[in-house]
Amino acid sequence: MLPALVAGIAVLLLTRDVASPSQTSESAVALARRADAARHLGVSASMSLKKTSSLAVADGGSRPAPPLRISIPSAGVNTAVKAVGTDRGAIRVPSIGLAGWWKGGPRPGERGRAVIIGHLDTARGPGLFAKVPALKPRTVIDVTDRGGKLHSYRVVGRAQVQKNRFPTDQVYGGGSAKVLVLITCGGPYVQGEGYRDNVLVYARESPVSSNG
Amino acid sequence: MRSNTGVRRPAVFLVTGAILLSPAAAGDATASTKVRFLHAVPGGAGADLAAVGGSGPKATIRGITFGKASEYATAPSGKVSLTLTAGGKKLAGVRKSLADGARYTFVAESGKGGVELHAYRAGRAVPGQARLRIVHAAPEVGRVEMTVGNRKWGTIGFGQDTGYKQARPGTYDIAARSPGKQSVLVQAKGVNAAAGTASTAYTVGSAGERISIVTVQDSVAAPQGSPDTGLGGLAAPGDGTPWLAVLGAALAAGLLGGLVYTRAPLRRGRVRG
Repeated sequence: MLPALVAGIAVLLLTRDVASPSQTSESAVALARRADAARHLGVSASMSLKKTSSLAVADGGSRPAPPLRISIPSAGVNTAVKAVGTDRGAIRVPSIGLAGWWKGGPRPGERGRAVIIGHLDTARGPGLFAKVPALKPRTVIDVTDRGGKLHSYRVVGRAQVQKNRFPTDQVYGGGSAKVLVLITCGGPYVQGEGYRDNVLVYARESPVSSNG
Repeated sequence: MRSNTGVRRPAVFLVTGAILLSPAAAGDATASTKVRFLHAVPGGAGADLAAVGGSGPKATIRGITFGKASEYATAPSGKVSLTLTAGGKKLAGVRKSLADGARYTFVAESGKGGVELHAYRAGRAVPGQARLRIVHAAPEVGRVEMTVGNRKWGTIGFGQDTGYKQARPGTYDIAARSPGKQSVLVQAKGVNAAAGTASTAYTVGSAGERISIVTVQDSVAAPQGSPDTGLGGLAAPGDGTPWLAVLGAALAAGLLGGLVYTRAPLRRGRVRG
């Protein structure tokens, strides 16, 4: 039985390098809820039937400009962001070395979930988002928009999901918080099929701007 | 980097397997029919909504109190019976044809004959645009003129809605006034109309309850499927091996080895003897 015992110990050793429980024990559903500040659009204002005399008008406000660059110093990311749409329904994947922002959704700096995707690897080696799956909570992600304004986020968690069970509702959408979702690949790689999983990293806008 | 990834991958794979099998992570992958329940009966107790019939599993939404909306729950499609209960007592029921893959918000409202259930089907969200609809579900308020920011959204009576209209993505104040009046009956400040979403603002209350505006997101414009953002350059040689098979083979080899190991002294003993 000794070899079996050795095999078991080897498996245990292989699993020691896992992410912390806080990173892995949450599903995308839980992470998305935690990243969003409120379940609905955040507002359920109420008042009595007593009439008031004034109305403050907020006409949409000024939107931040579309994103221009993304920087994640701890992951070696500092690159241009390209607005991407869809191709036959699926999101267009940007060229190697570029990040892609889903232009159909919120912009970085807006309330809701702004989504940016990038390659885990190329055919020969690491890609732009090679280190994104290993981002730790509170890691700073900076997005600079085309107006020159910096939108700084901090990672709140990550989830790994099978591509054939992609949790669309937990990735795209509105909400009351300013959330950034990074998407790249993960999991085992199967020749001819590609990576089995996607890694989702959720970050919330932080008022603190940082270079590190 | 390559070697690190090679070591991490099996570990991450094994750990995340449990996450992937969790019901929460699995629930939203398909375009199933979904229903949500909004309680707009002033003074009403917490209520439950059940959807049965058609094809698909029964849906039950429990414990929604006045002015609150539930999350979407997967529901059967086809001819479905929806029943509203509170404390085990039936308050209202409706039979409705639910389209496959569509989303509905069922609103419990005070009607002339008691509590009524009204269905509002979620509209389609458009990429890059925000769409907003307003529903009047406050029974004693009368007709109201609704504004979103400085734009008139429509004048509607109890039980009516404005239909979806396009808004520039951003943050708005939504207000209700008596038609032709400047004074505001109720106002919701800072409602987010996000790009790529369709939302509905429900005016609820009166009859002893405060009037309020409850805004919920109906649908999202999102790409289909999942992005392919990897070409395999970080995959270790042999990556993609079915690990469970490898583990099984290792255990089988271990058992075989153990058997040989325990029998070897017996054989040696026989030779010696």
